[in-house]
Amino acid sequence: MGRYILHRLALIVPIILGVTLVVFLILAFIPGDPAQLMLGEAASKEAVEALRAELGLDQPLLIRYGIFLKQLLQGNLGTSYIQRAPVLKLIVDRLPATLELTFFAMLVGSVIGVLAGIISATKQHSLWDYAAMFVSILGVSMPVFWLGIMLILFFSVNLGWLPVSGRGPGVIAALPAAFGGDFGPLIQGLRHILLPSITLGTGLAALIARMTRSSMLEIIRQDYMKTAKAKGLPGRLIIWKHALRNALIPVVTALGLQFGQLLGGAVLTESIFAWPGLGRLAVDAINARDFPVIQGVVLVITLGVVLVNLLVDLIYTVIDPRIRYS
Amino acid sequence: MSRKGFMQLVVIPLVLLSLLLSAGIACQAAAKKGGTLVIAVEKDAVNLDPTLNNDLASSTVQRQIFDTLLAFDEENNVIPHLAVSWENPEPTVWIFHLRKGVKFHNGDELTAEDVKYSYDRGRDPQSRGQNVTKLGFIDSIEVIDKYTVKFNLKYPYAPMLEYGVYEIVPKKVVEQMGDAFGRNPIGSGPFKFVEWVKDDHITLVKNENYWLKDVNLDKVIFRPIPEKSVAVMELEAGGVDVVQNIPADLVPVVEKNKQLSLSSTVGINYFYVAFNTQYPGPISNPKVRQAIAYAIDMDAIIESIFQGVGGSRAYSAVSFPDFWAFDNKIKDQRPTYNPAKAKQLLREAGYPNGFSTTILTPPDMPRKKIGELMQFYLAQVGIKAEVRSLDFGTLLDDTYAGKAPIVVLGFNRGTDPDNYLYSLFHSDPEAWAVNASTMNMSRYHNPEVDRLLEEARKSTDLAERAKLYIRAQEIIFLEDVVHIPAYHRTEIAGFRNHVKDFIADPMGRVLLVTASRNVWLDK
Repeated sequence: MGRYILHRLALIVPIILGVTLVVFLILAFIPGDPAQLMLGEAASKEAVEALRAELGLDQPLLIRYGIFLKQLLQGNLGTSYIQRAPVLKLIVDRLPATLELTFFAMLVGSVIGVLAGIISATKQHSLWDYAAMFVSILGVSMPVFWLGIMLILFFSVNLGWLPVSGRGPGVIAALPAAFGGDFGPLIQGLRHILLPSITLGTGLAALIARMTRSSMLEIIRQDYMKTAKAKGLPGRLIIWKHALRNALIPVVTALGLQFGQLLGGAVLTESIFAWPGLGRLAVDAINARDFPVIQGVVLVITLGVVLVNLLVDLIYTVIDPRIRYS
Repeated sequence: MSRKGFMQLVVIPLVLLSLLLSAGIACQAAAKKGGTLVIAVEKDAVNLDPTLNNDLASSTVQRQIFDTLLAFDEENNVIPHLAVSWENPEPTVWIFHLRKGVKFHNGDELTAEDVKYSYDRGRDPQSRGQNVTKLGFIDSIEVIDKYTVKFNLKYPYAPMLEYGVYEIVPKKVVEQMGDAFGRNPIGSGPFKFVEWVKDDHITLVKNENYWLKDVNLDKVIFRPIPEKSVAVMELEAGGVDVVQNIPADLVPVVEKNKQLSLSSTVGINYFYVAFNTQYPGPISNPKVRQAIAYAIDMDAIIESIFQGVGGSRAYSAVSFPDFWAFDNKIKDQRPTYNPAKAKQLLREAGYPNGFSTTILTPPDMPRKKIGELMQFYLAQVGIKAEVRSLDFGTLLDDTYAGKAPIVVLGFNRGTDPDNYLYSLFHSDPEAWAVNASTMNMSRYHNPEVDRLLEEARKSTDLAERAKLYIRAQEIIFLEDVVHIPAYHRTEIAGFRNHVKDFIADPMGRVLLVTASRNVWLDK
């Protein structure tokens, strides 16, 4: 097991090399000059050339990539051209906001999705089943942007129950206070994150619901389920312990694969809800051709996706002890 | 003196004066102190060091933290601010006398050294700032004494005073902090910097010792909300008090809500369709450009996009209402929609069957739509135009490289016509040769226009300058048709009714505490 994990972690190195190289090449070939965008439209050509030299943009591509890798080994992601601050700091400042948002979106997606899937499967062809599957089709096909705006309009503007936008104090940052007995900031943080996480998690919930349903339906028809029923076990125990556990394997796989997708969706969600996360940092950096920041964000997201998928593979062994890695 | 004469001479003015004073006092008394004003802005600031960054998002916040050497009044005239007076003993020499006793937020006094340092830092190419080229007209700056600073210019430059509206930073602090100053700024302005959570909020608090006046607000929070529709919902829900730059389609939402108010004003900005006058093929022919100007109904395009709310038709780069450097004859003689005449001009130019071309636009709605509607009109006279909407970086790259025959762009910088006409239309062959950046993206070179614009920036006689600028505009817009002027964007701000003394600013600035204004909250 330990060797397996080490092996998987070692694989991160070629993945990072590949991803950063691809991003590097894309950035080298898209039009738009960071020095130009930094200095504004009225800048003289001498000023732009001088800045290009200072930023090292006049160097050949391979040398620039080499410098990037060397810095990376030293744990240095470079300095943002535009914000004149270390990229690592820019990312670390925003990482909690994005982690929080994707975590709660996964929570929303998996809890609602699995519950809806179980209900649909156990009450196949009932009104519940049709309703759940209809809503899940809606959920998969609804554009994130439209859903977010509608949720804000209904819950925040018309009913006035929840804040329209922003992160508030942040859930993670509010945890220490909550452990100290002050739940105010935590509640505020949760109120802020509710709509964004529903917006981001709805598509996932819909997908998970459909997967859970079909996976459950398949398992319910297995012989061991009949055995369990014949043994006289109560229905609830059969579903939750015997069926669900086996049905969850493909669902967990989907969750892992969807994590990258979720981070992509976070870009849009963050923009709708004015959420101070990595997605907005990335969009602004792309528009300004702030190369070091783009590289940094891609690197962190790649790491995130790789690690989450490793985690998923490890979770298999918990759900299904028959699965072993060596 | 007769009794009647006494009444007229002394009593009536006295009564009027006392009435005026009491009205003034009544107004003053009504203003409440305290409270937090939350302002929704579109983008987060990039850097709060004003000598380096002056993009709109950054300068919106900087303006509340820093004082400028001179300031604009509400009619956009330059008035004293940190400098109480100035002299112009020679055409290339300007001497400014500073106000005594102005303190930075850290308690240090603001002196001539700080003024010199702020300008020198801004114009130093090593600083990588956005002011380097703009301040290129300055040759050197001398500190005469603690409160007197002298500017030596490279050439006589009429807009010099407008560049006096420039933020002054504390030399000592900036030298100590370097780049970090942009994240922890210290100025002398009405508000002090407290906190900046990137992409979430910037918090400022009242400067208790502000020299100009006692600031009404206790706290100001800027919240970047990228989606305008969300910002307006936030305004409706009460999460923010002010939303700047509301697009035309959201104006009815604000109008309908009884708790909200709107303020709007014709903006001092310029959006236009530019031709590349050196693009190989038909576009380089002035007759063809005239034909295009006759072929499209720009009045109808602007009306249909804004419906009288978000923007008004521009007739020149400086066709601002009642502007001294603009003459209505340029509006009256402009090419107006006339497809028959367009076809005739195309025939005369040797393109009886039209031709194909490309229109580049940024991705925002009004400008993209202008491109698309132009495409429709051009098709009527046989010109096939492909419209390509690109992100700004790509668009600028293509345009600087001269790859765009027709491009829809926009621009705003200060109020002096030199900023608009010289930058956009004075030739810049050095930059064109290497595809470098230039404001003259039309690659327009007319020696006569160059001469007019050079003379106009050197003269300090307003009437003389107006004459030169108006002649230049006739050549540029009527004869050579370098641009088809499109619109001046209306600046529209929405705010909650309890926000008092707030107005939309023609240059898109957030005016909270100025010589004539002190925003307060009635709650």
